[in-house]
Amino acid sequence: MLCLRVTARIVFVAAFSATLSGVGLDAGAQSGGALPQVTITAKANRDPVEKSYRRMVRGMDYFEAHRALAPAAALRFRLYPRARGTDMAGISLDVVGSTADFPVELAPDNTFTLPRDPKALEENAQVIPDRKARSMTWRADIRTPGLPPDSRRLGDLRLECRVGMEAGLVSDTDSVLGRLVSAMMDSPDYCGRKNPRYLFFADRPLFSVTLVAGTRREVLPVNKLYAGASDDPALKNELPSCDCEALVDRTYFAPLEDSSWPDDTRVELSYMEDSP
Amino acid sequence: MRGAMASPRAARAAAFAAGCCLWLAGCAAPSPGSDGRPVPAFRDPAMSMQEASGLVPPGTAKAEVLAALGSAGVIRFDSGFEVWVYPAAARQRAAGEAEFVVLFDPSGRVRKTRLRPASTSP
Repeated sequence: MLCLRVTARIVFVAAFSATLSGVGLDAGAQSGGALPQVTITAKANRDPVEKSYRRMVRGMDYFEAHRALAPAAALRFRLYPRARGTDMAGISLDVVGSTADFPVELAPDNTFTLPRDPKALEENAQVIPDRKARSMTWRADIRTPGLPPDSRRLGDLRLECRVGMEAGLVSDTDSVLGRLVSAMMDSPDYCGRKNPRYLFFADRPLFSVTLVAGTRREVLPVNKLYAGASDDPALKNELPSCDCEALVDRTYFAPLEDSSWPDDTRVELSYMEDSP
Repeated sequence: MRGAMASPRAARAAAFAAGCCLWLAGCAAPSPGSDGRPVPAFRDPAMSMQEASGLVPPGTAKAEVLAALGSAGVIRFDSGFEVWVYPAAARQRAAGEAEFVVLFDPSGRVRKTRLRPASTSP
């Protein structure tokens, strides 16, 4: 998969005033023929997989207001490959507004936190990685510490979905109709509807997902795995429209809306290949 | 299996339009039995899932599984792994349907199996 690294800082170092002044240009031209010094800073990331900084901060606010769902957890965001072959190493991520411009540090697992920056908010900045649109996707990453290996907590997943919707991480469509429908569904409330189709990504290809709450134990049916592939095999050709294209074997749906499963429900993940 | 379990067209259209992770998409490919008709649980209708589990231990080849259990719904992955799904017979389907799932590794041998009993949801 072609992966463009087109975030380029085009910097012509010099006196900014000269760019605005015809006098400066003339003066420069007259003083020995040297070109005027001009400063232009731009990030030429054509067709980037960017997100709204304001929306992501809204997601952070939502997390703070609803952290009872995951009281011991912290909020991070995470980048995942969307297109096959996307190079996920060495990603550069920046918040860029009209004047606000700062880098965001990514952890080795491509998770990150966003600092709150009033100027970036005011300027409606974008969060821009150096990857092409549709090459990656985004999720909230909320993990209660101390869980057993290969397990998640249902309350964490519930909050991930809600923060993800509030932060605008999941709307990614090119069509007018798609934007319209997406706008209708683009709310944390979506996560509480029946059978929400919010995809979670495991760290490795999945074989089974089991819910455990006290003595109650239930294996999710296979149509809750692999982006619902078992329900509709004819959809193979539409896979590029799913942000799970590269990770379909890691995806699962969780019963977010089913209140019979408490937030402390453990979601046990079993993988196709056991740990080495 | 596809016909019996497919999402309504309207829901599919809406989900497709919504794109991204709100959309379901599959890398599944039609395979034995996925011709739009319900897939019988097993070739032998009297066979239980527990019995089926004992017939296909790790290392069993696909052809042997097909011979022993019959056709399945198949999901193929780029990694070479395949998942074969034997759902409960159509007449037994309910919210808590049971299913038997077989995982094949890229060499075409059974790697794992699992049995999902009927749901115990309250």
